[in-house]
Amino acid sequence: MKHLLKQGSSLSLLIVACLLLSSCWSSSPIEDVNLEAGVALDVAEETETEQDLAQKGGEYPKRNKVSCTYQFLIPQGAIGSKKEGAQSKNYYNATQTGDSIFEAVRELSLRSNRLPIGHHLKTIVIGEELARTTKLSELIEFFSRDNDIRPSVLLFISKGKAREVFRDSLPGQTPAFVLNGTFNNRRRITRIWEPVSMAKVVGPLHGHTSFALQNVVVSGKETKFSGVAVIKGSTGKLGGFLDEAELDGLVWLTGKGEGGSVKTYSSDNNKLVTYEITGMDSKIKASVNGDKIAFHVLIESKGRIAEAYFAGGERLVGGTIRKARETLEKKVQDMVKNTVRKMQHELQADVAGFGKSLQIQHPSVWNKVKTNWDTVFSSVPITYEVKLNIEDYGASSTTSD
Amino acid sequence: METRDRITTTELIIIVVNYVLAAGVFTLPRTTVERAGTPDVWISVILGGLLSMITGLIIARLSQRFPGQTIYQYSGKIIGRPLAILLGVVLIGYFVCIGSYEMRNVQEVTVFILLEGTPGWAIAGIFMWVALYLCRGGINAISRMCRLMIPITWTVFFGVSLLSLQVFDINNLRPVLGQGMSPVWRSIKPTALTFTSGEALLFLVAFMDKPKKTMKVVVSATLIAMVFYIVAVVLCIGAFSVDGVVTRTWPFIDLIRSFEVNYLVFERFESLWLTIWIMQIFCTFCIAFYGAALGLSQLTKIPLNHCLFALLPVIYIVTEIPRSLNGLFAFGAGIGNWSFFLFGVLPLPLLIIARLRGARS
Repeated sequence: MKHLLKQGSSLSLLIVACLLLSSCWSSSPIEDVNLEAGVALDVAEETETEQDLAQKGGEYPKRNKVSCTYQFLIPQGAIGSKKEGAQSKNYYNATQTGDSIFEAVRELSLRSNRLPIGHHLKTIVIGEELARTTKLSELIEFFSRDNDIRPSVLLFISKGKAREVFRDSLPGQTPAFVLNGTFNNRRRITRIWEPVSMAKVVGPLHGHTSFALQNVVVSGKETKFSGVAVIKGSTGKLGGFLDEAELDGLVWLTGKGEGGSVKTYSSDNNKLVTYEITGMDSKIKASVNGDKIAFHVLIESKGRIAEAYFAGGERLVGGTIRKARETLEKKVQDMVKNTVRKMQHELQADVAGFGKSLQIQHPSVWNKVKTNWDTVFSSVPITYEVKLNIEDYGASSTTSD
Repeated sequence: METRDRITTTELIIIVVNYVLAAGVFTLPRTTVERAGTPDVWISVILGGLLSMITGLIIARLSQRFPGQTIYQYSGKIIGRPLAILLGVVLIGYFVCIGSYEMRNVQEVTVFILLEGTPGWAIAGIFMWVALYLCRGGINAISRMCRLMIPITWTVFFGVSLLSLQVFDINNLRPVLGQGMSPVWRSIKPTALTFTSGEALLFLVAFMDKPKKTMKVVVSATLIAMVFYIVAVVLCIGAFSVDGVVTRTWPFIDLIRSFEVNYLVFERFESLWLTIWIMQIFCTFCIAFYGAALGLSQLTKIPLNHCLFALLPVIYIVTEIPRSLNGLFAFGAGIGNWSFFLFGVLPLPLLIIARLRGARS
């Protein structure tokens, strides 16, 4: 009896151990999954593969509205022989056209044995044409609801076709990751907007306020950040673009830059001077007089002389440095003014946070104007003040001869 | 009380803090902002905490009149045996519902983010059996479990909160009181469910070695819990803005999913945080489960261990009653209302009657 009991308990221990040691319930080995790296959304245009498949009957009932191009990573182990592996890309793209973005990715499961997983999705690029015609909130709806895809996914707009951005890359690179990595260069140049993740757009989209997304253009194997796309709060769709110079102004206006340069020519002898930004800050002060709203923008920056061709070999002291500073300040002011002019008169959208300043400084006034803020904003007078502080001039203490 | 189980004041503070910190962190930022519509809800959290502190103090006073006795035992001396049994049954029901609500939250969140594809019953099953094992050890086992948990959960919670500062924007919390105090008052109500701490004292004070210090327990435990909830609310609004936070089902989890860290061993923290927080919810579950079983045992004179076994299936059934996520949230709001009446309103008349009748142990 005692023996039996002992046997029974060791048997149950065995069963429990089997249950516990058989590892995860719903695991799938990494070699067998399709890691989504990026998604490109375009207006419906079926690829050759899709058309061919459709001709052979590979179709499902749908209205063609969106083409979703998924960039999948191929795990290193799955690439095959070394010789081939060294040459081949470590990603491939698959496009599915349809109306529901979720249905489209599930339809892809008819074309692959691999399970697509969204945990590592980093980038969503939306083509210009689609962004102009469809609400952004509809386009990201599925991605913001999914449990695998994180709200940290970064959003881009591409002037042109979004899928082109993912098509090719320099050897060893993955286009979706190149885009995200480019944001690391914000310390070097002010023509990069801040990275905007899905988490940061759900608020503005829900609250109908305008905001800007990084625009990306493509040529051959290279992509380039080129200004920003402005999503209008009133429509929730793409309203227009700010080009590189205008984005520069926007970055100064918001003080969001981490580093970069300002180049200008001195007024008298047309010689170049370049300033390297080591820090910037901006304050927008709203003032309300009766019904009239006005803003004053104070921009402060510190930095150093990076290049100075003007003034012919003079030491960078006193008047020389003041002259350089004044021309640079004027340049920054011109850039900022140009950006605001475009926002007020062409785009009629405030993406620089003037509304937020008004909301913080005059909440009761804001409550009256918030529903049509972008319209109100387009006729608000704005004054500017730029203060640069040239802290040093590097290893060379004179201008060039 | 015929038990030798005794806990110190600090231990009780730790138990109560663990009881208060639970699934509320997941959703509180959304439920409060939904009602207020302004970023000032952190003030509501403070006010809600202070209110619950007041009700907690009343419960503490009540419990102090009957040292060594739980509400199930002493309520008869105040309102008579039949009403006391009714109150006892309602309290047991309440603790069962709290346990079920917390467990269902764990199920929903785990299946959604952590273990997609794992059936809910498997998660609940393991959860319940471990809880049963722990509760059989009595209040000291629970107390030790809570003490073990604190360094881990607090470090992970505040560590992850610090990391989330990279998506934090202070402007989303401004202007402060831009629309006056009325939104703040409105959103106090949803904090009721998250802050109910006094109810645990109804039976926990009986185990205290120095019941005179119950007041200290109420104040410290509520203040500590308040810090966690303020951090959760402030960080979520700072990251998503008022307009964004109302669109997120689980704002705090989405907050942790909203950033990636490049300079540490791990890049993302939702799995770690969620695992740890499930342990935190486990503490709440165990305390509620123990409270319900203790009540049943004291009302019916059935040994505690049997009551623990008897209540397990009940808790599981209640857990599976909500048919959808909205059902679960409605269930939570219902428990909140219930607790508001049961522990916000009722203890005062009980205390007054006890005074008038001179009831003491």
